[in-house]
Amino acid sequence: MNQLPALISWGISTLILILTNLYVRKRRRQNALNFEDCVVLATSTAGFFVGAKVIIQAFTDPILLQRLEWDGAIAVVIGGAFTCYLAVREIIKFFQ
Amino acid sequence: MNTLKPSEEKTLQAFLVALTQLDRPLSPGLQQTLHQLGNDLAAQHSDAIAQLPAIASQDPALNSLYETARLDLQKRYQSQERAKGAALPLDSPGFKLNLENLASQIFRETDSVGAAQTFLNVQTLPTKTFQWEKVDRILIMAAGGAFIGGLIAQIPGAIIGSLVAALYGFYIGFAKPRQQTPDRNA
Repeated sequence: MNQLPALISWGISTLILILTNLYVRKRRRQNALNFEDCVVLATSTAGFFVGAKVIIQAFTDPILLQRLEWDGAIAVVIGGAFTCYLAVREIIKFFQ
Repeated sequence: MNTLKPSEEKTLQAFLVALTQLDRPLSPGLQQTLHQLGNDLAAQHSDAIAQLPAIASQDPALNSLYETARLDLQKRYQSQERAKGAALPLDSPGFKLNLENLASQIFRETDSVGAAQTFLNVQTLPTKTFQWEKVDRILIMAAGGAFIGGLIAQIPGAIIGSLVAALYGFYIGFAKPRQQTPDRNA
């Protein structure tokens, strides 16, 4: 993954999530996000990127597939999916 | 007493749960505000319960407990199942009927935190679920930190980012001291 595009993608995603969350909370008259919440949201977004990257690599990188073999690849995909799940769950919590 | 709407019931329950989990009394100003709210509840003011989130937000520790309890209750409502370790009798029909009465009584006590713990017969609430959720958060923060650190400074950055994020997650989840802030109404 190229560094700059990845950083920009992550930054934009985080910004969109934070702004959306602020809007949703304002409409629901809930307390706005504090600094800690923003950090958790930002790192959770990054965590989702990691999970997605792992899954994509496991399916598309022939060298990795060759080294891992099918059982290792399945384990890696499960790990990536679990990471994505945890990240999405953390993000959703802020919208509840 | 009027029948509570589900959202009001949830707000009230979450606030009571938060009170039982607080490890210190409320500040005098906040206690006074709560006392007034207890009077409003007893007088069946329709907007009394709606003020609870604002009251909780005046105390960071109480607010954090309130938000956690509210999310937990929401999950329970959604999945229609009882929290396995819950010690509070919040779901029994008799309790629901008296919820407003009980809350009004607790709010009007001089120490609402102690009263909530006594009335609800709770010393320590089950926090196993909350603990695991915090661990999940630390894990995902570590992964995210590794991603960000790795983008900035390759492998050393990933290691440092992961450690810093995990430590920060641990700090906000477990180690952060609960501070008593000066009450805004005082």
